[in-house]
Amino acid sequence: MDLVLERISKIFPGIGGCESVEVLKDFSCFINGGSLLSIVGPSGCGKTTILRIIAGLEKASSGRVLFGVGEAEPGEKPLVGLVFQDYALFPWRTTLGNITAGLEFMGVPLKERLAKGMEYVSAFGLDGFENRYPKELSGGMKQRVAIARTLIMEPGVVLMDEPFGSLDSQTRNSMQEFLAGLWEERRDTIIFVTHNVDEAVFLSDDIIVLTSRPARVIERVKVLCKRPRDRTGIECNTIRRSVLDILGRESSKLG
Amino acid sequence: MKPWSLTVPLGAVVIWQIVSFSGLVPTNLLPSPLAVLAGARDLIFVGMPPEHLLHNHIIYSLLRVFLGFIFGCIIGIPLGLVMGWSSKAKGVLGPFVEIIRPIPPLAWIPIAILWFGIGLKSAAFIIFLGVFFPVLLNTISGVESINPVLLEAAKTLRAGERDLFLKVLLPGAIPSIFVGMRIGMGIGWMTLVAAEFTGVKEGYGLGYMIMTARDIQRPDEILAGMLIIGVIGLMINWSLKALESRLIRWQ
Repeated sequence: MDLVLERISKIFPGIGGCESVEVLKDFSCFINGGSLLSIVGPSGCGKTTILRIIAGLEKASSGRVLFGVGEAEPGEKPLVGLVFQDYALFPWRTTLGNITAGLEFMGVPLKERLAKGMEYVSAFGLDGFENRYPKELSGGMKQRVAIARTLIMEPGVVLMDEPFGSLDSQTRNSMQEFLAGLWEERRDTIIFVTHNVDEAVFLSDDIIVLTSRPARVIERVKVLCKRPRDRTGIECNTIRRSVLDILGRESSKLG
Repeated sequence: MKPWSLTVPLGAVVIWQIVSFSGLVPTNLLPSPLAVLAGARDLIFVGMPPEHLLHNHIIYSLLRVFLGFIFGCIIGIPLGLVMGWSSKAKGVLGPFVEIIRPIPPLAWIPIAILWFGIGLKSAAFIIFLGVFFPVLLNTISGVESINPVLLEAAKTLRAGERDLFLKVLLPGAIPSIFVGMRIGMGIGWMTLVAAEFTGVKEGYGLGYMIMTARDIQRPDEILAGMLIIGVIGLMINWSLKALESRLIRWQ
């Protein structure tokens, strides 16, 4: 589903004598339905705030989020999925219970949601772990459960907030490959926030590079390398270098 | 339980028996362990007062405790969920709770008797007060300790208010609720015996039993009764713990 962010600003009011913070100022951006867009930028620049506004967990001070622009019937707010960095799994639910939680909240009958849940358990390589609790799973598995829990809802837009940020680099690589494969199959509309330029280049169709607070788009880079991608191939490296250059210039401005 | 964890209690009984044999302590103040055992036998088969057998005292006491306990939980848990969830509810009800809470449950006995008369209702009310506050306060802190990200995750998964309450707040607060239930049950059990000292209409109850034993100078039965009260309290705590570890295997 297409998504347009139109001149979004967000100001967090100062509390108890602190100055108010302007996190976003006239931030505009679009994403084509079925593509994967990464947002990279200095830490604390407001990437997470952008996701929270799209997900409806935070209200923009001004500006609009438009879903489904250019589609037959735009307007109605679709389901927006959000994958958190620290998984945010319900510790009292098993793998299957977590994956089917959203279906349960939506009132899908038990039999139907268990059947669908087991499909996702298999598709996400979690066979044999469906009755385990989150504390018994590795970081990579937990994040797979969290992604399955979101995708099973068939959301119009999927937001991922540094989902692999707390994984070790080995697991991180294999999770990136897993996500890339999954996306090629399903073609969800994904907005992926990360610190990691390699990750953004490996996964995305488009990368937008942000300034520090208040965040603006410095540049939008198209990643045209064909999939499946070679992490260390020349094409990927060229794009990686240009993104890193842009980020480098931005941080040298900060001194 | 480890084998050596019984050494100290057994040692204490042996020393107690030796002291009794030596005649250092008058047996009308501290009867020997064997005499206490005989007292327990009398409680079981003869009864105190006669014909009022031990198992009936136990049944009545448990009934009072469970009635108070159930009401304490039925009211304390939902109220705690609401007060932990909504700062407005906490702001309105908090001061009231803070004023009532420091009043010891036993201080309610006179007014409880006035309101409910001597009997099951007033005893259950006193126990309710002992159970209610620990359950309430622990439920509140259980809700407040839930990671707010879980609530946001539930919202993005289309959870309604009802789901947030029953499927996020309640399970998230369960470990803390159990702490409150065990503390509350402990207080309730202690309160019960004291509440029964003031009299029971039905003629049964462990507190009533040991008070009657005092009236007719049977220290062996008093001590046997005390030990029975202790053992039952221990078993109640064990069963709550067992229930707890079944319900929160995820932790």
